[in-house]
Amino acid sequence: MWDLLRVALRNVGRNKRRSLITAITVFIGVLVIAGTRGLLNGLQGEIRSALTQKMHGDLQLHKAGYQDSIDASPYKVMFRFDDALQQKLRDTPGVVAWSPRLRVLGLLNHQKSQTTVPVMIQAFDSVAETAVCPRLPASIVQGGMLVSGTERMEQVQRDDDLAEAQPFDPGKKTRPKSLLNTSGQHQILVTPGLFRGFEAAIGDEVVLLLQDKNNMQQAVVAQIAGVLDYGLPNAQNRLIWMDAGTLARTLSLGDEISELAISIDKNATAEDMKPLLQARVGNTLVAETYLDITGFLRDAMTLQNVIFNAIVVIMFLIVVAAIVNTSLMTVMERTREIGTLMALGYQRKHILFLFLIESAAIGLSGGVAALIAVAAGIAYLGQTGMQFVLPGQTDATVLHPYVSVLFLSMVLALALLSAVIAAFLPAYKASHMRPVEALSKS
Amino acid sequence: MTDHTVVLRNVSKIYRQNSLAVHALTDINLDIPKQDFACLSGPSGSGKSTLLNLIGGLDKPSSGEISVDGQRVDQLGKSELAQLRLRKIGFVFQAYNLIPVLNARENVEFVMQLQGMAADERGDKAMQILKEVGLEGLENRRPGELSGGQQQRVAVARAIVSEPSLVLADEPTANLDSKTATALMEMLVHMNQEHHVTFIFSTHDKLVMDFSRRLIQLRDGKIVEDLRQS
Repeated sequence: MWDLLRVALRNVGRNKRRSLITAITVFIGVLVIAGTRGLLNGLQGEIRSALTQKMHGDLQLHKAGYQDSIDASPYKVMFRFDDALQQKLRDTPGVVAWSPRLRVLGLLNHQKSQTTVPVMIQAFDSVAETAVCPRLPASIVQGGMLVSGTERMEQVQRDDDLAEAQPFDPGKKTRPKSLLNTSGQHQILVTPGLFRGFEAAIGDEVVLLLQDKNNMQQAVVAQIAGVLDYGLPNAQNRLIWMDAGTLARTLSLGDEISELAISIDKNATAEDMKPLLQARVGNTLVAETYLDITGFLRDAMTLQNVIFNAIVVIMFLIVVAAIVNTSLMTVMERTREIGTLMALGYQRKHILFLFLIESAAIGLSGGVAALIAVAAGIAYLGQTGMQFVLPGQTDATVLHPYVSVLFLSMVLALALLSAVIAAFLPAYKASHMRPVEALSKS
Repeated sequence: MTDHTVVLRNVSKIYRQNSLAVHALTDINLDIPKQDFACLSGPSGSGKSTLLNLIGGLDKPSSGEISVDGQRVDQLGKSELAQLRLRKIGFVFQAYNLIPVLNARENVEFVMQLQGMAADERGDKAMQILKEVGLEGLENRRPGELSGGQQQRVAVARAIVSEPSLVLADEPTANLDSKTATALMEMLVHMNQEHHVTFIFSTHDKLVMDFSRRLIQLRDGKIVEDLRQS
């Protein structure tokens, strides 16, 4: 076997230019496949990260029928966020944090422009929400984050303590913050679309008109604290965010919530955690992954993968065609040598293996060189990041391409396999020559 | 029968070209005793190369029996023929047919390696035979770095190093000048005598005929003369 290997490897270097061209074809094929996968991983990773860390969390718990009813009848799909549910979450391995949310419909009146629009209101506690969606604060493009209800209570307490310690002086122009907070100055975040539409400014006063479960009209006076842009395609435009405690008190919801966003351990996957969580919470609630919630993105990512697979097939065919061509030429040129080898005692299998090894060596050299280049390039880009504008976005996103060692190994195996498959027919032809005919070729 | 390295009985070879049947060899009967130094001669198309190919198991006869060292060549399968060639027959070709990516020593070792001989043993044997054919010091040169005569010496060394029963040489001097050809033939005579190897040549070359102890003349696929020379 070693003599076969030695002869085969030396033969690769015999026609250097041809071997090099074939190896370059393999190099390009592997480079395109592994490079594209790296970029796609970066893109999909960014989409996944944006979805889970800005918007949805890794998983959500809903009442059955949530997706169908939330826009029309939000109160119908609310459920209790009680101690028992919290205990179940605490008892589920892999669950790291959770954020109870409310989603109701309302009318938003911008005082300055005297404009009123229907909006979907999403309410959360900013501390809990940030624990589940750590990239949310970075999505606030103007102004600042909502002050958490919990923080506010502490702040009110602090301000009240301060007011007690320092008696109110009517000569001073500033008033203690507790007075500001208790005088209806709640905060909301708005989408860029609403902000532009209202021609609003940070700090503008708005009035939220809401209908509670008993069909009683409620109003909340608030100020625009910031502009939140998820930076994701298909994001809703008429959406505002406010503190969950404020909304729950206004609508007398008690411990009822619309959805529970959950973040999981880094080493776990949402798909794996979903059945675990579902088993814990029972049949009254439905566990859904971020991809279940955003079906269009699942479809988009599936489409991306289909296109990628098509690229793999095309590159595979190009590489195979190049190697078939090289192998056929090699067999034609070395016909007499094949005859000599047969005369000296080589059997058909030796001839077959000789040409397969030669082809595999070319495939391997091109493949390994490409993988080194891809690994180095992706490691560099993974560190520095790539500015990239996602579809539907105007602002650039920083992608961090990556590929797994397993994928690189698979690509290398594919390069090797394609080289062997491509060389098989010419090698078979060579091995089935009649020695006397092969020797008679000039 | 066992005193003969090669025995041919009623051997014919017919090639089909479209609907035409070309009789390359007709009813050949031939005995080549051990350690013979025989030469097949005749004009182009007389069938000498065909006969050599049939004896070497490179081609199959259309009819008749061929035995090499007591083994019926015409009845062997492809794999068994390959084993026969590996173990019992050495080939020397007109164009040397060395493996271009191997140096002289590796070319000589090639057959022994296929036979499964240990590296040390085959290395020693290769160096010894290269010394015997006058190529000491050139063992690391590849075929492209050797002259025609030197390449043919490597080919001879490769053919006899594994001590086959029979060496078949097809026009071994055709590409050599007369001085080199004479030296080569002297070397082959020496090998024949020292290594007790049977040689069969096919040639047009008068020089080869002069060196041969037996001259077999072919014409139109038939043996027309079979002479013993002193």
